[in-house]
Amino acid sequence: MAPQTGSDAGEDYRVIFGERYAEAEDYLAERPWIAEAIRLPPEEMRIALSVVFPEIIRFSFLQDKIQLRALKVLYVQYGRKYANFSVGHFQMKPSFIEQIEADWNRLSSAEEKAALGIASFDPGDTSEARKNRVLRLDETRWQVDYLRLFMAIMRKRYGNVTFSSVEDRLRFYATAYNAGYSGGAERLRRRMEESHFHLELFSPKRTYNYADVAVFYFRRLDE
Amino acid sequence: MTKTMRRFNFALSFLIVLACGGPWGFAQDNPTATTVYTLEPGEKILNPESTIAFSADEADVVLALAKSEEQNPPYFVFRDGKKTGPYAKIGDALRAAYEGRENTQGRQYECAAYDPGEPPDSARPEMDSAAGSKQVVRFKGKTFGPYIMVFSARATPDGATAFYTAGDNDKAWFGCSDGRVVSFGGIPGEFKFSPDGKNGAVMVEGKLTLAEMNNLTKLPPDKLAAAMNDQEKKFLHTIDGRSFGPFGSSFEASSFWYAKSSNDLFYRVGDDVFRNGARWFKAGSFDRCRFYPGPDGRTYAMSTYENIVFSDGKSFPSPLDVIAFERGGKTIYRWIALEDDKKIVVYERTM
Repeated sequence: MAPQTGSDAGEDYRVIFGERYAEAEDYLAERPWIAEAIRLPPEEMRIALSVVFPEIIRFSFLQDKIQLRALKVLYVQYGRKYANFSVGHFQMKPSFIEQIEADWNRLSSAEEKAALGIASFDPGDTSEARKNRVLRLDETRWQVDYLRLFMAIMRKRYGNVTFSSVEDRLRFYATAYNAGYSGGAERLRRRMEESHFHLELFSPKRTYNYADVAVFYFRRLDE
Repeated sequence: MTKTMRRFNFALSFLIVLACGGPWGFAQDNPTATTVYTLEPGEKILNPESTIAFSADEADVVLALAKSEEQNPPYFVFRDGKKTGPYAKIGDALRAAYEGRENTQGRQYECAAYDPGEPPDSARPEMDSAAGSKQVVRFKGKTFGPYIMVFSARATPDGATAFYTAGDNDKAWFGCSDGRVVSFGGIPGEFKFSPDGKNGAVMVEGKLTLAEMNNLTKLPPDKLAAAMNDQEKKFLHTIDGRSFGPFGSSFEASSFWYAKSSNDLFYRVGDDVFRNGARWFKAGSFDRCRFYPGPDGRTYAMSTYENIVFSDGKSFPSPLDVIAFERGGKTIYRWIALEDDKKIVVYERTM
């Protein structure tokens, strides 16, 4: 049976995801340093937190279920074909981080690198570079830095896109974070309507729209 | 060279070989290798859906497999040494992979430090009130105390033994349901016990008793500052009466541990790793989750994302999982690796 899908920011995701939602909220509430470390104006900071919030819910569900260590070793040893797994509270994949690092090296000026305090990354695809990437991903502080880079890269790549509202921009950014940001605005607009988010390990009975969950959290942050 | 000298030289060489072997004189230089499964050309392991680990000391390899990089159907499953399939849906493949198993794939293998599970509900120690506003610990029909305050009580996963921390005005306590109890000054924090439930250690802050702390306000400012400074120091007290420390304020609950593969107490201060209070080795980069001490306390292995390094300096490519156990009086290390990106191999090394 195909999973039920649908996009509706009017759903109460606190109820739908229950304890997992509460744990994700607690995670951010108990770590105010994360919001501070994003170092963006208040509205941008709330967008950034909302972009990753559904992933924090998912991490809360998955953290005891995936044998992550072996996946990291395979990635360090054999490279990109083993890069499709998610790490940490923000559920960042090595493949996503490789793209963030390459874009940061390519798109940002020396002044921008200095302003954010994040230098260029080793562009090589060596086991040493992959090991260092995994070690960074193991640290929440680095996950926050990668989120900052994602926000900066989105502004650069999609600075010419017109958004009807802050929530429209959040939907766009959240979809890009979840589905990958490199396919262009048109593809992202299409993906914004799709519902693939779920908390099952495999074969979900129902899937949700990632951007809807992000917007739901954003509105509660605004309350 | 005379015959006598040659005989002497041979005997000397033999002795040198034995001596240089040191505590690991019988270690295998090369581990034995057993291939569990070889991927077919083009075959791809579905990463999060697979388990490549050890259950007890047996290799536990459950692979969900696809025939292409795109991970499209058909799917196959390798489990209990046999391959089944094809399966048109990933859900059917995963059912075939994990149905009937107590645990599905997961992180239960992730950390080499001992993290005991919960005991049965019927074997949980109770913290109860007693006469005179005091508290006691009740466990399996026995009562421990009374104390002014019971801080914490926890049983081993098999429910056989309980440990507790408590405090009175003039001393604090770390006790075990087998009757052992030690006392000290300071405030007991987290305690840990060994996999066999026979060893335990508690981290304690400072040396002041409850009574002394109540009187702190009566001290002149300089003595008060010195007392508060002392109170930030940490100590370890074991259930069999040994004490270690003082340690600085950076010493925390994660600085001491028992390992799954050993009943010894380990702690780390700076770069030094200590075993049962004695400095064992120095390690600039160290992760207790990737540290596998042998049960006999002579050998260890540490794994990084790149390799596994043994206490005799031998190093091999990084494993996906490691286990250390005792067999016939010797420490056996087994690890599992994906070799040449196609062979799942179980290695075994006796030390």
